[in-house]
Amino acid sequence: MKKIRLFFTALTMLLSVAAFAQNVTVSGTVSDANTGEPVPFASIQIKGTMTGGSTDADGVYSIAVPSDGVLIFSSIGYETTEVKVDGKIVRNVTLKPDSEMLESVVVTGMQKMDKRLFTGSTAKVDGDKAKLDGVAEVSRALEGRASGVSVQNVSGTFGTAPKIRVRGATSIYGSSKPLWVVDGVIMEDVVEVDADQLSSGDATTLISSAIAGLNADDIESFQILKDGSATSIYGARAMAGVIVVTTKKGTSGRSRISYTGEFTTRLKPSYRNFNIMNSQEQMSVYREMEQKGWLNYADLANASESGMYGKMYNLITDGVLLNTEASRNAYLREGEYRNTDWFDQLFSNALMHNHSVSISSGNDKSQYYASISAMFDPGWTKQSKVNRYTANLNASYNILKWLSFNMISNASYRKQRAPGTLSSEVDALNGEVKRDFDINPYSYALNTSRVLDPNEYYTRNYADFNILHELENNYMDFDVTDLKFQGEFKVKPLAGLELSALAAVKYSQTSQAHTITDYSNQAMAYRAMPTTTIRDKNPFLYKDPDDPYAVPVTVLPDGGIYERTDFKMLSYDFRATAAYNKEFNGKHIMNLFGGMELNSVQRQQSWFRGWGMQYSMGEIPHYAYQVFKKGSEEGTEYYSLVNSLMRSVAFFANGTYSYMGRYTINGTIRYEGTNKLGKTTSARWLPTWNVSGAWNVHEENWFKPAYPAVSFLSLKASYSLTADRGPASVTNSRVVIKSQTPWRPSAGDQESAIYVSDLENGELTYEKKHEVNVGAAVGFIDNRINVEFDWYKRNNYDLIGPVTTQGIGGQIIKYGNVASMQSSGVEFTLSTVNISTKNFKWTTDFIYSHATNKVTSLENRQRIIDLVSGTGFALEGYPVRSIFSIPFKGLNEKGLPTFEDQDGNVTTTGIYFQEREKIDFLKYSGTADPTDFGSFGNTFQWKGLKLNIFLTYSFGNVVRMDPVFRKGYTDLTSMPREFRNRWVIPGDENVTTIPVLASKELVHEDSNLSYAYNAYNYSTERIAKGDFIRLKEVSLSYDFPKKWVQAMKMSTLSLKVQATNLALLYADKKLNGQDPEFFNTGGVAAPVPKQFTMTLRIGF
Amino acid sequence: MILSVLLVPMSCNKWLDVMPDNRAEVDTAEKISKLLISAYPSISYILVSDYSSDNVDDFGKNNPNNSRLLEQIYTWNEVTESDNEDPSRVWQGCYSAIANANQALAAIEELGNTEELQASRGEALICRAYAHFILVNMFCKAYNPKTADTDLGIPYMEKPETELNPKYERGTVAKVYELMKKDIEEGLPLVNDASYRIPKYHFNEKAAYTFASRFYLFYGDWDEAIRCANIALGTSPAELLRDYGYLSSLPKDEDVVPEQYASTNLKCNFLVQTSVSQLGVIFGPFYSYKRFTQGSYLMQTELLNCAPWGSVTPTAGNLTYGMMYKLEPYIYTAANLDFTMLPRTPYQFQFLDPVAQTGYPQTTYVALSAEEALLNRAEAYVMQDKYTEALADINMWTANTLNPSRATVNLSAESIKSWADSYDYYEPLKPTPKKRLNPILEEIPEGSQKEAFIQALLYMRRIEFLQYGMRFFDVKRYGIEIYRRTLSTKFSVVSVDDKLTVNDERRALQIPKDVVTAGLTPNPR
Repeated sequence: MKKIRLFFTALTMLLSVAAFAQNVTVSGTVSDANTGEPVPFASIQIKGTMTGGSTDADGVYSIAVPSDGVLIFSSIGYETTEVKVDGKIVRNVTLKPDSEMLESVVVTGMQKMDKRLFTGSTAKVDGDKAKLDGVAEVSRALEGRASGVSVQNVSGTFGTAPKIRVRGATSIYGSSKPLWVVDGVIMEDVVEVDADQLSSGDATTLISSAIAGLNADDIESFQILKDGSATSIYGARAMAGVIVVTTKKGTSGRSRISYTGEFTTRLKPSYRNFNIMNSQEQMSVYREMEQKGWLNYADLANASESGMYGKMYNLITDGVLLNTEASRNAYLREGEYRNTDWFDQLFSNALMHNHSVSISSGNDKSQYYASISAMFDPGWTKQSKVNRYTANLNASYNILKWLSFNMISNASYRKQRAPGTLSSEVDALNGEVKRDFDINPYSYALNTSRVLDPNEYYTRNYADFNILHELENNYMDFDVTDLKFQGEFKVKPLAGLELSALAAVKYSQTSQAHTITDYSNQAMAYRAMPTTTIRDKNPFLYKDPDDPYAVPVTVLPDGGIYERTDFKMLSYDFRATAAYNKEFNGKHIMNLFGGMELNSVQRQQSWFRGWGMQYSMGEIPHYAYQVFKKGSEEGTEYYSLVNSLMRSVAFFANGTYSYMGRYTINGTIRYEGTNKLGKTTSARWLPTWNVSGAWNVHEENWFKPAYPAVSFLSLKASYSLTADRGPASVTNSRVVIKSQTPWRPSAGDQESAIYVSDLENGELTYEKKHEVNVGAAVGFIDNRINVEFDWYKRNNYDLIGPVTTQGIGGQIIKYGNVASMQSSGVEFTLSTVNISTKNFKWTTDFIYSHATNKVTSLENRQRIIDLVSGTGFALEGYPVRSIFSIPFKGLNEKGLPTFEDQDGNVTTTGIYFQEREKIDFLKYSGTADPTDFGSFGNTFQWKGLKLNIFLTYSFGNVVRMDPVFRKGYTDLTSMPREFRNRWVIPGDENVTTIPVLASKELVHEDSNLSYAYNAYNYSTERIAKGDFIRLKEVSLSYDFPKKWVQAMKMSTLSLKVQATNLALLYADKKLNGQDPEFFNTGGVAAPVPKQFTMTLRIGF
Repeated sequence: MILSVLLVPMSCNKWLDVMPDNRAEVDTAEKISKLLISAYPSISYILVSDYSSDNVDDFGKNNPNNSRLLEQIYTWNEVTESDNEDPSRVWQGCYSAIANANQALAAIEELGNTEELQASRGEALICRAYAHFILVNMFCKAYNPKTADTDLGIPYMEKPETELNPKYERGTVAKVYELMKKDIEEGLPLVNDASYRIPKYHFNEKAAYTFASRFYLFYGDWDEAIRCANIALGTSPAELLRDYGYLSSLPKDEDVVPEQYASTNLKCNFLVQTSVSQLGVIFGPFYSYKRFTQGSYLMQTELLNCAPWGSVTPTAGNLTYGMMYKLEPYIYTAANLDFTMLPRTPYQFQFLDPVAQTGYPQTTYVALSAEEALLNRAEAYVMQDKYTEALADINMWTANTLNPSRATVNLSAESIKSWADSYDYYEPLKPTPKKRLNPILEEIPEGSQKEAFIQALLYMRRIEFLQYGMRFFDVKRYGIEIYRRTLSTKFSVVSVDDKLTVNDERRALQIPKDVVTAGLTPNPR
């Protein structure tokens, strides 16, 4: 055996000597200069000849060269490097990434692919480029950074996920949320929060972000997978796109420790930016209201809510204030001059600071990256403090040449406080969205009269109320813990073959404790009965139905309320994959990839409400027994538990073939099963697939002459089927039986029951999407100008929608795969290096996306109230999130608004918000989702100084203006300045569209008057364009010169000053300061503030 | 390779065979009985049925306390308004009860239909028949042996629905009655009181037999109607009847009395049900909804006054007729309000969240009572010409309900005959308590002793079931023509607006609009 091999070796040597007498065979590895990762398929050319070759999948090459020859190594995304052979037979080469060129590797979370062979549509965003200093929530950083990705900051409160859409909505009732994959592991949300809930301001929105526990400094890159070809490896979960996050890891040969400190201050909002009356103007309106019969003693003395006037009457009753006109006027005049600045009272500029330290090191054998961070946010508004701590460890060890192990563990803990809030409710009858006991500082500042004294107590829910006191006594505490542990073995038994096994465990726990202390208004309301009139009116008191002679009593004689919600999630992921990369004859490149994965997600949610917690008496509960009797009689639960378990299995395979990197074809198939669609084996499995191809025109020999004028041209196309599981609520492939406690009036008659909650729908299946994508990438002038363009068309079908049945099975409206929609769009990215000299560089990035969609089949079950309210809703023939308006027909001779109603008549109060059938009279105002969006960024760099100006823009959507009009106002309300133009005397209807301040007489005449004012809030008059151009970021950074830094024993030192969200350069005038991105819904919602951040970076 | 891809999923199926959430599976006897708690309609038919009958008048367009829903129901129009108790909710409520019953029956089959499951099987069958009974009497014509084979019925569901949007045929009224009879006959012997924790909310024996007596009465099987009523009433029916002494001793409070009226503690209440409902407001002391309502004029001329047991001259101001009853009616008159109520449907509230003050209005009502069994039996006796037995039952009712110092408690065949003879047949402008009968089950000669008894019994039933919806069924059974009148608050008829004739198609209420859209044959109009 040995003999034969010797013979062959000798033979080959002889032959080679014979053929190329002066040649040597040079071999080695080509690797990335920064990461140390091998560069696969880098092309190698012998200088001065047409001969060459390329590296294999592991970056290894071997080539015969003249011993004095020069090799040119090039690969897309790297600077071209020349290496002299100098007679050596081993030449390891490192390539420096060319930051201005397109990225060379696409990370799909499962695979790393050579960009040249990648046929899908994707965008890569570097972590450090996207990072918004002073914004701890990483997903917000994606705004305007990649084409096709829209990020709407519906609320700026920490922990609230922005509304992110990759190429727009993909589902009608489903969430359309992209899938987040961090270091190859799918991040599940602790609690499913859909798009409407995101903008609801409810407390659960604060834990809606799956990645709030990630420290922005740890992020290496975001890879956004957009079309079906890019996402197909995630097939049945990827309909709405995938965002792959890669965190930093250690590199061999370099050790460093770095510190980043961010110090942020936020501006308090100012009344200058809002159109709100000052106290003088406000008082004059109150005077008019007084004349019109409002704000009188009889109404206010026993009112559930009152302000300045109510207080005055109470003072008169108590004998503190003289009941003369002069003394009343004097009292009111104090308010007139008060001009309280609620923003100043409730907001703060206090410094938010974030510190993170990372250590990274490595050698050939092992690499690691470790970081910890701590963020301290004292809160922009009162009671919105956040502290967050994160730790991250990523270590790799090359056990053998062919065996390596990588482990990652992340931990984060967040402690957050928010003002106490309840869920909001829609009152469909007269079209109001309400939230009781709302103390959100932002909406309070906007909606509360400036005549009020911030240190005075007024009345709410028949009890004393002062916002500062209430915020102190009514708040929520969140404790959020996220842990992730993952390990991955990689085995390379043969050249080109890599087997890998990955396992991950994630655990998150969130507790949300709502403290309503003994002295809070919300607790006091349960025992407010100063007079018998109030006792009989106060809805929070309890009257025993079993006692025919009962009088209302309190169920909360002592203490406050303690409410707690816990969310837990435990998930396991296991994945085994095999990748085989092979190159034949330097011409045929073949990549095969396949594997399977198992996922399991266990969620638990429990809720508890404790009555009578005496916070001020050593936290001992003292409850009245009536609270349980009442709850039982009224069918109210006092605690709840919800468990859910999701399991899925998937098998996938992907194959790529490329001829010389010129022509590439690719195909993927994934076969996925889940238990979510019930027990039937027919519905739970779904195959998804894609076929695609790419043509790297610049690789053609005939194209070479165009270089470097046209340095790069690549075309690609794909067609795919991907899917999603549909809305979380639809799981009835088998009958769904749930438990309930039917309401019964007497506590003794209660029984627990089970019932058919959803009838079996044997045909239930996944929501699906077919997508065609055509893309082109061109580079001009040696890639100084890069253009990327994508066009796509999507056909979403089998979407979950309502269907009206005959109801014989027990449900008239059922949900099944009956709806469909179409969407299409174009995406365009232009990046240029305008000036590049030794010391100065100016680059520009322009990103534009256009996305539209249309519902092609959907049965309407929406009421008018759903179609006209802020978030909009789907209607056949219109976009998925359409906002409609009630056609306004001017003011009538009484100054009341008139509308065209469902029967074509002009009416004031005849709009029925619950109507479902006759909705054709509504006017389509536009979509709530922007259709055109993107960004425009410029960076100027002079030596170490870097100026970055980044604008984002968004066009094509409409927003509903805040519903401020009402039939009656209390002496607590603040009013917008529009009110100055309101209808006052007959004839005004010809010059103004602002309705009259209704007199008491007018309200008495027509008990339905609130319909008129609410219809006005949702009319064509109260809609504005959502278009905006925002100066998102202006930053100036300075990298201190190497000489100085090294003198201080550092390796890097930089300082950066950044202004975020500085101004809206353009927005519809009608909005008057209302942020078009933000939904002012109260609760825990707050807009994204204007802020200034100073960042210090030190590296050793 | 392909084979392995196909085979591995099969083994994974087992791993995926876990429930995704905390849903229940019906796999034990206890769960079946818990499922049957949901086999009762959660929405009452009372509002639709009572407002379709002659128990209401219109107080005019100018009355501001209008409701579009009530207007559509009152005018026998197609209902397009939606509310918690509109016809489509009634439809869905009944079929949903049927779905739960069928799911339970399917589970019983799966568990082997064993001995211990028989009580549940009985309940499920009776529940299924009961919900279909409400549907057929609301949305179809009354059972008429001559035309039932062609009259449009409603689909009779005997197994759970498994498709997304299946299409059904309506079948005939005869078929529905046949299947109900089958379920009742099979279910009745299986019903067992011992299987219930809260028997008054379930088809206990008394409730099941009372329902059966009603079914046979509507079906024209007098023997069976009497037999079932006998079992329900037992040997001393008088002791089962409502204790009016207790109710009238309570404070005259609009919340307290109705709550007690529908209490499970009362012997007379055989089956008590709750419903998401505004009935407590509609039949309560509130201005809301009072454009269409039961006013003094109606009460005085045909409902509480001019009775076989006595009468006062009908005038707006004279309220002494109310004293004939142990539980006096509550009478309200004010501007835009002319309303007489019997305290039967309490206004209650289910709070989903007491802190946010959100929830549903609810009411509690007596679905089956001892009085019904008694009146059913009396009617069946009359139809068999057994007047002595009928009179005994009638007098048992009068003795219990009426105030002996104000009303004639002991009626006789003669007094009933002379009461009936003393009135002309009803005309909308000259109302009397005697409406012309066009019975569809059996001939009743006009002016006969039999007719007098039936007239008296219908009068008693109208009072007994006022605000409980039964009147509309009786109007249909006896082919009574009823009218739509506009009244003024001054005790007079302004106009007669409409009439429901003997063969009027509108006697079968139109099936819900959505259901028609989904392809079920509508009733002819």
